[in-house]
Formats: sequence, C-alpha cells, structure tokens
Amino acid sequence: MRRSGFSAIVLAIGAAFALYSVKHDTRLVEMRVQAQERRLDKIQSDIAVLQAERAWLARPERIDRLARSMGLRPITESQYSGIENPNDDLISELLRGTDPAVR
Amino acid sequence: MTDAPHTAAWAPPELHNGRRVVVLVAITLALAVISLQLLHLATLQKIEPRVALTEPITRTFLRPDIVDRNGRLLATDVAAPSLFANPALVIDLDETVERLAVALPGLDEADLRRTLVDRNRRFVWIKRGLAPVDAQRVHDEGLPGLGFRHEPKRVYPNGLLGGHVLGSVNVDNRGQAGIERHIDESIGIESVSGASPSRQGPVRLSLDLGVQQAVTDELAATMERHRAKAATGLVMDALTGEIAAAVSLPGVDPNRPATALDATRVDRLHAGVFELGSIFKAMTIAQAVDERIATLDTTIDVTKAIEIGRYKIRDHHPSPGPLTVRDIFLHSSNVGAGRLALSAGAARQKSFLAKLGLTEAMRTEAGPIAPPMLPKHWGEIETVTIGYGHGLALAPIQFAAAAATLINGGTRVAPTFLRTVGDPSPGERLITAEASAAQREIWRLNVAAPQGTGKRAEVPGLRVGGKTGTAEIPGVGGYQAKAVIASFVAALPMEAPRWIILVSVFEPQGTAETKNAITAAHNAAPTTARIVARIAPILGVLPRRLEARAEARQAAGQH
Repeated sequence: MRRSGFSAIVLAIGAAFALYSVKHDTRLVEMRVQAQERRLDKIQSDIAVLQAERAWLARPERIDRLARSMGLRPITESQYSGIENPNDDLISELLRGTDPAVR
Repeated sequence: MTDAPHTAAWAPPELHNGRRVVVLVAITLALAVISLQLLHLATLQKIEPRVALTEPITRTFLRPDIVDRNGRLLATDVAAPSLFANPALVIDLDETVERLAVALPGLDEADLRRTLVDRNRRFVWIKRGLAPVDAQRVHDEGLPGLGFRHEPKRVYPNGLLGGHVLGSVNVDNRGQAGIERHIDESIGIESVSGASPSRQGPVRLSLDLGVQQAVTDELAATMERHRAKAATGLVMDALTGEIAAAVSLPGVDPNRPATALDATRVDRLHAGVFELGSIFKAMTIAQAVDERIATLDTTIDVTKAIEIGRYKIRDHHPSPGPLTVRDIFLHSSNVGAGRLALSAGAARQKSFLAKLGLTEAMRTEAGPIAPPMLPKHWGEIETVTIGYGHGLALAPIQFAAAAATLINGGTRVAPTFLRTVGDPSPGERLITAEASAAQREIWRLNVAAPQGTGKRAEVPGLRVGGKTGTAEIPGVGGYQAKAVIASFVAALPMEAPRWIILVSVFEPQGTAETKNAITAAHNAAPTTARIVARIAPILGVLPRRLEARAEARQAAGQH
C-alpha cells in the first residue's frame, strides 16, 4: 500500500512535469502560428499593394501614351489577315519592316 | 515496542481495509479528473486572452476588389497607416502640435490642439489613410503619445477612368456611391479592426478597361476639338445590356471623392435628363412599323408645316415633295416624324414608350437613373414634338437600353454593370422582329447612303449604322439655337448588332473644319466612327472581308 502511494506521488509529479512541458510547447507552437499568421497578413497586404502598383503602371492611359510614342497605332481594317489564307501583301510589308521580331 | 500494535495497525479488520480502498479510489478518481481537466485546458481548449484595447474604438470595413470584364484591377484595398493619439500620454502639447503641423502640412492646428487638450480621452484620430512617406516623417519625430494603426484604404489605380461608375467610399471604407455602394448593399463587406486583406472574391464588372479608355480618349479629343462643355459615351451589349464602357466627361477621380461634388462633373449618362432630339425619331418610326401604321415605303407629305393651335412645326430644309418613311429617317424630317406620331396618337405613343421603359424610373448597379421628365399634358402638340425628340427628357443610358431593343430583334434590354454569368436568356419580346429588321435597315442606310446624316460615322469594313440628333437646349425664354446637345446612336455590326453605342457632345462649337456647323453629323458622328475603329478590335468585331472568309470556311467545312 505504501509502495502504491509512493508510486502514485511520483506519477503525479511526473504527470505535472509532462503537463507543464506540453503546455509550454503548446504556447511556443501557438506563438509560431501567430507569427506565421502575421507574416501571412503582411505578405498578403504587400501583394495587394504590388497589385495596385502594377495596375497603376498598366493603366491604359499610360500604355496608350507609351505605345503611341513607340509609333504604334490602333489596328486598321487592312491589317487583319486570316492564318490559313494569309494576306501576302501585309506579310511582305511586315518582312520589309524593321521589327526584328517579325524578321 | 512490540510487533503486536504495529501488526494490529497494519492488519485492520476486513471492514477497515475495504473503507481505505474506497477512500483511495475516490482520491485517485478526483485527481484524475483534475489532471484531465488541466490537460484539457492546457492543450485542447483555445483560450487566447489577447489584449483588445483598441478593438471597440476602430472598426473599418474590408471590401472585395473590383475588376473589369477581363479581370483587370479597378479598385482594391491596401493597408495604409493611420495616425492616432492618446492625449493622456502627450507630454508637451505645444511641441507636439507644432511638430505635427510641420510633418503633416494641411493639418488644422487649432483643431488638433482642441482634440489633444482633452486629457480624459484615451484615443483620438489625427489623420487617417496617410501616405507611407508622411507616416515615416511623423514616426521620425518620435513624439510620445502618438501611434499608428494600419487600416484598409481603397485605391483606384486607374484614376479618372471609370470613376463615375465605381463611385467612392468614405473614411471608414464604406461605399458612398456607384458600384461601391452597390457592394455594401447587395454583396457585403467584412467588418474588421485591422488591415488584413479581404478574403472575398473580386466583383467582376462588365466594363472593359480598354474600351473605356478608347471612349474616354476620343471624347476628350472631341471636347477639345469642338470646345464642348461635356461629352458622354456609352458602349452596351445590345442583347444582354452589359455596359462595356460608360464615360461622362469631365470625369471624377474616386481617389478624390470631393471631385464628384463639382456640378460640372455630374455623371450625365446616369444623373442627367436631356431632350435627345432626332435620335428619338427611331422610336417614332419603330412604333409606326411595329403597329402597322406604316411601312418603310409609305409616303408622307412633308411639304407643309404641321399647325396645331399657335404652334407651327416645319423642317429647316423642307423637302420639295413627299418622302417615304425611310427618307424621313435619312433626312431627319421633323414634319415627317411628327405626322407619323400624330397618326398613332398620344395614348398609343405613350403606351409604346412605356413598353420600351422610357416613362418609368430605372436603376443600375451604379445607382438610380434620373427619372424621365414627361410632359405635364400629353396632347397633340406634345405627341408631335416627342415624335422628333423634344418635350420628353431622359437619361442617355435609359434611351440606349430602349434603342438596343429596336435593333436587337425586339427584346427587352436592362442595362447592367455586372458581368453576366453563364448564357444570358433573351429578354421579353417588346416589338416585332419585322419592326426591328426595319430599324436595322434604315440605321445602316443612314450611314452608308451618301445623303444620310450619319455618313461621317462610316468605318471601312465595319458595318456601322446609326442616327444623328441635334437637340437645342432649353434656356430662359425658349430653346437656344447655338447651345445644342449633339448625339449619335449607333449599332455594330448592323446586320446582327452586338453593341449599341451612344455618343453625346454637350454644347459643341463650330470649327473651321466643320464650317461652323454644330450639328451631330459634324461632331458626334465622326467621334463615333473614331470610337468604333478603336473598340471593334477589342470587342472582337471583325471587318466584313474577314468575316466573309470565316463564313466561307465554315460552309466548306460543313460539306
């Protein structure tokens, strides 16, 4: 009986330690989760800012101006061509052009 | 000591021993319960006693992003620092006010002093939605009692583009006008205390940023060329009512909501009602054909003016002989349209316009459309003037929806700024298919024929059709001959219209090129042509030559 009482006390103390360490670990993990969540929020908010900046840089009014300064114009009727029935005049005209992407 | 008492103590009667076991078991059980409970509390239960001091003070709202029909960003939330103060912790009031005023120019010093002097308060906003650079400057001052919170701030990367449609939000990020308000009312926003990004999916509009830009650009050029006060342009799907572009210049920048308060910047498509003039003759002729009062070949005597009471209605350039209904449209004869309207009569005219939704208030997701202004007394003279577009004032967007019905085969069109999901079902039939076909014929003829008023709207290869309208603006003591609203309503491509376009130029001036003419044929029609040339490739409308080839290929494939 005395032995069982003693072992119960040892068990209780052991359990208390185990409990404490589990709790400690839990807290650590929780803190890590919170830190991750904060980082996630930060990254998501950075993404939002970058998307807004990208949209600002790609706003049509700016692209329009830049494209025109490069000599580009809205497409005209004569510039259309079917793929299987190409407009030979247009292609030879493009080939004579200076655009390296076409040559 | 003998063994006897010891043994006696350790050899209790059976009864004693049983009692002890019971007690021991009870204690063990109690301890086990306590341990389990502890374990439960420590690991399983999520008790997070986080400090939430500022929670009840600052509440803002997270909004879903707004994107155009192709997913390009029109509005989003970004986290912006907001400056607050705890007056109880401010040590030197004068220094704080002085240095803040330097760091943040435009801050009202007297007002700031008043808020900071009250030491009973624990939290006051100083300025919300700061630019990062300003926040850094305040931070560098190192003033005690000040702090930052990150709050969502709405930004509109495209500035003026689509500003009227998008509307605006207030400092708490709640929608005040336009689509933003619609989001608050119908889609929902999240209430938050921080600035974590919204987890809602984006709201997809029917607007096309490229089309919106092309229309804005061309209208701005037209305003400059003709020194006009304002201009509007609308591009709408003729079947579903989806609006690809809605422009009203001068525009507003949703990043600066105060610009919307300027009366000259009102959204004329939505919030203004105007007599639109001769483009309304399309309605009159549609009614005549729809109700079998006339066909396009019926001839009508337009040589004599219409006289009703003291009013006399005549054409500016009277035709020497009678005109067919088709020619009335091409010559834009007021007398002809008036006679057609008279033969229908006031009651039938009113019910026809009501059927097309031109007499009732309408709304879109961007807000209510200004209700039409109907004549107080709808008698004979009103019937005649409405027949050619005067005496009934309505918002351009409402007219465009009715005009779409005229050319799309005759079904109802409800304008919308939201992208339709799935296949749209055709609307309810309002006019006969024959009447709609007749409209398509005369609209196209008016642009293709050399005598048509809309010939300057022609774009090679693209089958544009449409009608001009030059309406004098009512002023003090009658209509002003020199102040007009010049409009052009067009459809594209004319044989099976996908898009309806309505361009209006407000108070254009004559130029040397137009020989001082201010009629729609010289400003709204050519502007429409320029717009069509730019938006047709974006909207996927192919020139005739290519489409014929595609059809031939299809036919060859079938055999």
